[in-house]
Amino acid sequence: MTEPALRIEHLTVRYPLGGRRFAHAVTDVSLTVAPGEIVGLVGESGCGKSSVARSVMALRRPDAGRVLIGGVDVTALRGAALRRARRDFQMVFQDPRSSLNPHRTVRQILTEGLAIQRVPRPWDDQVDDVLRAVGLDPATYADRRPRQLSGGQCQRVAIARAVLLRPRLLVCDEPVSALDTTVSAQVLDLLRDVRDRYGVAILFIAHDLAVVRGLCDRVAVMYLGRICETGAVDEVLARPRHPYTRALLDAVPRLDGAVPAGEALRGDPASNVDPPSGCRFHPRCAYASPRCAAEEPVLAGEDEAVACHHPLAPVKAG
Amino acid sequence: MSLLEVRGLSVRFRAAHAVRGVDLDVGAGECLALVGESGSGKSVTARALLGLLPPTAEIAGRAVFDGIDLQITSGRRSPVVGSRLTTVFQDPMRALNPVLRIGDQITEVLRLHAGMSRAAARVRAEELLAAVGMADPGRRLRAYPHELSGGMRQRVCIAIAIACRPALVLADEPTTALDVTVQRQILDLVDELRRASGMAMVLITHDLAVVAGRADRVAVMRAGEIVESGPTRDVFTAPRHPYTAALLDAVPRIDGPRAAAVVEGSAVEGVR
Repeated sequence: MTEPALRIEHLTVRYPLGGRRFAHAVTDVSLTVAPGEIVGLVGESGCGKSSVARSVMALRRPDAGRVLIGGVDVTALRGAALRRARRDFQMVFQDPRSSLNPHRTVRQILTEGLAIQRVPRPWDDQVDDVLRAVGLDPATYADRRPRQLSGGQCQRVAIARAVLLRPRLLVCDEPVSALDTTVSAQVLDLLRDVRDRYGVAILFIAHDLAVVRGLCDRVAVMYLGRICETGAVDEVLARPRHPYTRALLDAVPRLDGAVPAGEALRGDPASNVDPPSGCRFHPRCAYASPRCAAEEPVLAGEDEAVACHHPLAPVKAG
Repeated sequence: MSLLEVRGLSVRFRAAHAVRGVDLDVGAGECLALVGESGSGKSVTARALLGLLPPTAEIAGRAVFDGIDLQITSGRRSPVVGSRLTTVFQDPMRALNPVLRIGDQITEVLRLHAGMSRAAARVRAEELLAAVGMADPGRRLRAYPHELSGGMRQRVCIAIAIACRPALVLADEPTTALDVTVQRQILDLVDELRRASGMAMVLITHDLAVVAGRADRVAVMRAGEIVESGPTRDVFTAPRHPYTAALLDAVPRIDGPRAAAVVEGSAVEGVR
């Protein structure tokens, strides 16, 4: 079997709040992304999806668990070894403008990574190629600064910077939420294109299932720090088994104006400082039983799984 | 007669012609969606009506609200703004004052526009928070904006907007900064409040899916002009302008075809 581009094993991230209190951002999350695969990680604000991204990017050391990128445990790396390994995993952020240095030209922004990774010069051809690959003409755009670009063009530059070092894995944290639908469609199209061209795997973090549906191969739904359902996008979105996935789907506005059958999800997620007992979704769940408050459901398996005591459709026999 | 009648609205910022001869009509109790991409002029249109544009903006045209000329070219804000004609902005964190308790921010409006006493305003503020679906409104009055989630902050902004029982609310991308689940809660809340009070609304958004099933009429803006308008159902099922069709195709779908179509270029570049 080929080595997955990303393997997250039992990742736990908690932030100290002083005293003995912690915000339990991520609890025992496992996830794999195969080479060239696009996996969506979805959930509401505060569900821990960005904390997963930060741990994958080795920006924060996890409190438990491991992150393997191309088989290398990046959580064990330090200093120069970590810096060398960073070539393999690159990130695209939500706000394209604030993730680019406003004082630098597009060419300077792109070559910075090459310099850090000690890629031998000359760099011009590589930079021109990657700019063309993201749909920006080098002659027009290479010497511009971010303020002379539109939001969509800035995001193209951020994607060019991320793929320039030919990483195995691209982590995209809400890369289109700050963009208009029309520009968002262009950027999603580009991400598909980049995957096809470079064979890069993508961990795509989003709160909008409609966007995930158009782009991803597989999806993992997070709620309050845990994955509650995972599987192929077609399967999970067509036949959601976790009531939370159903609620997320019902929240997506539809062009035909049809009002989804389900009630809108009430209230906000519970606090991750003192998460609810048992199933973390039970206080907001229409199907909750006493068992849900008492016993935490287990996510069995990694490919097609749901962590729920009362899944909506029968679980397919293995 | 329309509640809001806008004729020949034009706004210029030096070289940029942001709005070019826009006509709009909003009937009492009606919900009009103003849709378009960034830079299409939809927010500038709303800001011109509210008197929120910087003095450098050159405004032409006329807007009559509820029989009163808003005098949008005068550079002064009409006294109806904030009471009878109100607004909800995109980013609730930036719309609220970060150093004032939300109770003070709601009572300020009531005292200023409705001339209420401090005590009466407090009682009404608590009612308003309950009306926008905040649990434990009495305690929430003492909270600061940073203590609330994004959805709750937007509920506070809506409470402020409806405080003086407005005839019309201009909501500029009110759910764009929010999660989809919270978006649905807020849109449902706005629908409910509109039904209960009969207020009219102009809903400004770039996301056509947000207005489907909620707005009575749609006006599509591109490069400062309205290119198509009509009843929501007609515009969505049989768009007459190719740009409207392209906008509809760009919406990511949870049903129907998986990949959204790509619109080449952008509205912003069209203006330059």
